[in-house]
Amino acid sequence: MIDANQPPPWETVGPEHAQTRRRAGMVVDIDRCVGCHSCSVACKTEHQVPLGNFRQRTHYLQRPGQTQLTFVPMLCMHCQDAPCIAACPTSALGALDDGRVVINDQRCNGTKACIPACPYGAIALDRQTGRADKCDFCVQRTDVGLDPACVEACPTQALRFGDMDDPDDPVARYAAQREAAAYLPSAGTRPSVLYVGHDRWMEKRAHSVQRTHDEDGIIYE
Amino acid sequence: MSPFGWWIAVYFALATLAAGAGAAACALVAQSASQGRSPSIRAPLLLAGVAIALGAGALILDLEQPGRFWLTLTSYNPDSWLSRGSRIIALFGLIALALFLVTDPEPTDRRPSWPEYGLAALLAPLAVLVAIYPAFVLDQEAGRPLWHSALLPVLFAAGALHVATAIARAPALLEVAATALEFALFAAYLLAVGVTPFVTGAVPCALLVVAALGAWLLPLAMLRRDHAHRPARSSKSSGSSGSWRSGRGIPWLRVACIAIGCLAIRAAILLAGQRTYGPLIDS
Repeated sequence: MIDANQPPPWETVGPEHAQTRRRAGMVVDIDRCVGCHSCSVACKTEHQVPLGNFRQRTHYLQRPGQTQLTFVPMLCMHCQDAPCIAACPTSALGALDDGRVVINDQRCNGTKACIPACPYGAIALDRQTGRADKCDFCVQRTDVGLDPACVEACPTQALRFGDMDDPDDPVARYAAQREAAAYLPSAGTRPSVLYVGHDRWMEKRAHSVQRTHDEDGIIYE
Repeated sequence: MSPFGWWIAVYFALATLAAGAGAAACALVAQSASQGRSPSIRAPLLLAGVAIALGAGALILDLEQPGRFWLTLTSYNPDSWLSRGSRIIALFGLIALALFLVTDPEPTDRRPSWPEYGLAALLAPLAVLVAIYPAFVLDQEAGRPLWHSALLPVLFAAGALHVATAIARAPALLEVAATALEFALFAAYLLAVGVTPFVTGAVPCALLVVAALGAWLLPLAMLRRDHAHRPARSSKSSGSSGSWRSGRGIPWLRVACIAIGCLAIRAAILLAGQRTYGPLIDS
């Protein structure tokens, strides 16, 4: 959304605008999400995610006993105690200084140990390259002062990106005000993506695993 | 099944076979220390080496980028059980090779030498680690709750023990006890995690469990038949339930049946586990 009070994008993009973050994180406000999939589409476009794979998914869940739908965007949680990093035998997965968990494509040999290690199903196999693939908070964008593509595309500001360890950061303040909490706290991974408005029944319905399209019996034309 | 495919099940079964063969060699060294004569342990050590080599091949075949398999060997992630396991397996293979080289190719009428004792003493704990570390690999997969059972390492160790008793031609009672132990542990595991993932909606899973049970029972039937057809001998001879059974070499058919049972059980655990997601949630 265009904000006339903000400087134009070309004046705020570039290595000189790279922010020093203590802990990159995101707040997902389920109460604001309308399930438009702009985030998923923006992510796929930005990263050329292959057919059938998703770095960012929006689940459609029906509230128990109601006809109302709830939309739950799920992506890599960039956990502070990431089980995927521990599971990878080639150290292809690692955390940057600000906590963004990224995959080193040059080191991934397709062991696939990271995929079942993730309790959120954030990692999938890119069958074209034979390497693991997941959300990396749009490293190429966030390194030059931009927000991740999904945050940029979201029309309702259901997704907000910021420094979760900076008390002056607007996103961190928003998370504190709205009492944002971890999804699946029982996983014990200390995710950097916090959710506003999520309930435990959502965790039971949408938790893990990207099923491949052939497992779901979906044929992409 | 994905992401851990059939090659991983083959690798796990071969790791059990290698561990059992290594343990059998160590048991024979220990037994010969008391009896004053050394059977040849080259056959079980050779089996362990071949199983490890084939297991490494299975792992490479499972990789989506097999050309980069060397990264698993050259980089070390101390938190990753796959990384630790590659070192354990490599060390196990080296010690087994060293023991193979120092031991006599034929049975002798002497106690084992000190190098044989020393290498066997090193090989024994490594055999245990090789048998159980796949269970820790599975336990590290936080998104698959069916694999987070403390029974899995014990079950995998029991599989190696089962293999070892057959290879070493342990007294029949020991071999029967090892079979019963593996069966009991798997039953306990099913009770702990629930039979449902193994039965409903996954026909291959149920068939694998039946195949494993059959594979376990077949060696027992062979054992009983061998025992029934053995002619009467002196008490010092093989065949009595209290002494190690005689016979050179490895009872290949029995060991193959046990290995097939190991493969079927591990494949069932992988298949059922990968179809079960999520109960990290307190209900």
